[in-house]
Amino acid sequence: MASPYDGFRKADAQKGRRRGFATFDLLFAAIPVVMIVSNLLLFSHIADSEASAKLELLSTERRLLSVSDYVVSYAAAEKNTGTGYSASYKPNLITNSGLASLDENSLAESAGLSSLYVGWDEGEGTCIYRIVLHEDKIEKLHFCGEAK
Amino acid sequence: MKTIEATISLLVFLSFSSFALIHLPQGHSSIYEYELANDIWRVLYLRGHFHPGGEAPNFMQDEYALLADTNHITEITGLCISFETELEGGTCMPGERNTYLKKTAFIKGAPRTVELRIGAP
Repeated sequence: MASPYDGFRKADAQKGRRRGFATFDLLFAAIPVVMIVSNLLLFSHIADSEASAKLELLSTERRLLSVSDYVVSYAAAEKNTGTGYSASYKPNLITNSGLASLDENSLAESAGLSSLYVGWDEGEGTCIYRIVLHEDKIEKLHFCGEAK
Repeated sequence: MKTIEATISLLVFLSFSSFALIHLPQGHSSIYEYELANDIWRVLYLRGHFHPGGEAPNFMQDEYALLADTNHITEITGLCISFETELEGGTCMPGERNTYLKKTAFIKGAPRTVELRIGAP
């Protein structure tokens, strides 16, 4: 014999099932939202670190460029005549004696670099090169270093 | 099922777009490229391409010698070099992203503007 409460029980079960479906649907809808948010966070983190690395590289490149300008135009360039401020130079014409007399440590210190290498072969760290004339041959003079 | 498909498509799209954005080509600063263009001009001057003799210095007097030197620079640096003036010369045409400088040089005894362009092929 059917209980008078059977109708209520059936209605309760139906309500529960409906609530279950609603929760399940909500769960599925939440997955893409969570994924988008996590992806965006990850992307912004990667973009931020990439941007800071690029900025650091550019800043090191500029420091190396200013050192290379000094070396190629004066410090290692062939001197024409005169001394001190009256001296005239031949920029981009590199002499062995000028290159040997370079004080890389003091140049690195003045440019705000932790290390500096100037030579015909590529060194370590961030590198740039300048096109010079050395012993009547066109060569690449490398400048490598790292920022402090 | 549709939600799962949409999620997978979205993930694939996001991964591709972030990959494309992060791996943008990184070049040197424009001031560095300008210095390199100046270096090339200066080295060609030192190699005597402006001094054909006792008369007024003429640029590109000896085209073969100039081409040999620019070819050597391209060989060691990978940079394309081109000259644009009354006479055209150079190794290869630089691509869209190039650096140029304008200089005045004697060509056939008269001052002319020479445009030197350098860049990746």
